[in-house]
This record gives sequence, structure tokens and C-alpha cells, in this order.
Amino acid sequence: MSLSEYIGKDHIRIFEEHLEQSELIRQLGDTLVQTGAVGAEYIEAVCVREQSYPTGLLTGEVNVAIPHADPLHVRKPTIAVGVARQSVRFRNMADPNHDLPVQVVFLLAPERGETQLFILEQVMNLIQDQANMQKIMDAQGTEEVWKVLAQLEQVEEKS
Amino acid sequence: MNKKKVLVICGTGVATSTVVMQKLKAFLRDKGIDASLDQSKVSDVLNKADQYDLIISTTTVPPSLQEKVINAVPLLTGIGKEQVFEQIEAKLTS
Repeated sequence: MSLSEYIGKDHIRIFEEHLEQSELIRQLGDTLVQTGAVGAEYIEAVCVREQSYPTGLLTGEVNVAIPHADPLHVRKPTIAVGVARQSVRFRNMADPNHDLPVQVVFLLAPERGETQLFILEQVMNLIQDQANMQKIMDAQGTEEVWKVLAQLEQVEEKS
Repeated sequence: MNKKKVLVICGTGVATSTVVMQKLKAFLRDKGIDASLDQSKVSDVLNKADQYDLIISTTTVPPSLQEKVINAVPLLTGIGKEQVFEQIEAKLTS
């Protein structure tokens, strides 16, 4: 399954206004709760876990965060993508004493085992691909974000 | 040379340690280094740490373990990953 299919259009949100981290995770998490991908408990678990094991990643111009928790309350593994136009503060995974401004949040609803490995690797490839991260950041709407994700695979298939 | 034991950890033992594990396997294969690899979450590490020669972590670990730990976040972001692989190679071939 491709990354764009795995994510799905319903799990993309653009936040024009400034939000605190936990509020952004909750609003982005709502997209997962709405489609039945996770139970509401999962989103609370993610917020709590983020305090102990922060997930901000310094990747260049467009920084990302990959909040997630134990898959206990995940019903259908997927990922929600949130674009924070005003950026949102996350503590740095590599150095939790510092925080960093994050522009794109990948809220993971993971599963155990090998099945999601391919998807996670694609996410990691994407976050290292700053040109496409910038396109996601600049997207006019959620449809455009989804198109950037879908177009990634076409490039990969050709190469 | 004894086969070294490596533990890969992250906060949940599900997401980032899975990615790191995969990259580590590919690296060791390329280098022809034979090591035994396990995956876990950080809360399980304290009582297991003695069994391992090297711990590769995407999250912070208790100070008592820092001697054996290499921070693997660069393997996720790609920034500085060469140095991390060099450190890992040095630890496993010494």
C-alpha cells in the first residue's frame, strides 16, 4: 500500500491559526477518531507520551514531529498529517531539554510487526526530502497536500 | 571476535526503533558485521542493559547507561547519520 493510500484524504488537516501542541494533537487526532481509526483514549495517550518521550525532529527548513503511543487503542493503522502554518513547539527527540518549531506533524497510529515498516520508511524518506516537505507546507488545501503525497510514489515507481 | 549483542530502543518500542532496526540491519549487512539484534522500549532497558554490548536509542536514557548508548535520531532525520554509523561500526568491531 502506498503512503497516500495509507494516510487517506480524511486524515489531513491544515492549521492556519497558532495552536498549543496538545491542542493541535487533539484536533489532528480527531480526524483519526472520526474515521474510527483509533479510540479517543489513543489521542490522550499520545499527549501524555509526548511529555516523556518527545518526538520533534530537526530536519532542516521544515521541521517535523511524529507523535505516537502504544498501539493498544489503534483499530486501523494509519497516519494523520497536520500542517501548522504558524508552527507549533515540540521538544526535540534528540535533545529533550530543547524545543523546536515544527511545521508538519505526522500523528502515527502504528501497529506492531513488519507490515508498517514500509510505510514508516516512506515517512522517514519524505521528512528528509525538504523540497517535498516545503510543498506540503505551502499547500493551499488538504487536497494539495494529498497530491504531493500521491505524487511521491509515482516518482519512486519511475526510478 | 565474539558476536556483539545490540539492543535498539525507543519510547514505545514500536515506531522509531523499527525504522532504526531496519537501517542498522542494512548497514551491518553491507559491512559484513555479524551481531545479534534485539528491539525494545526504553522502560524495559534498565533491567536488560547488562546483557548488551551496545544500546542504540532514539530517546534519552538514564545517565548510568550513557557509556554504552549511541543516539540514533540522526538515522531518522538523515542529518549526521554517517557519524552515527561510524560510531556503531567502531563499537562493534573493537
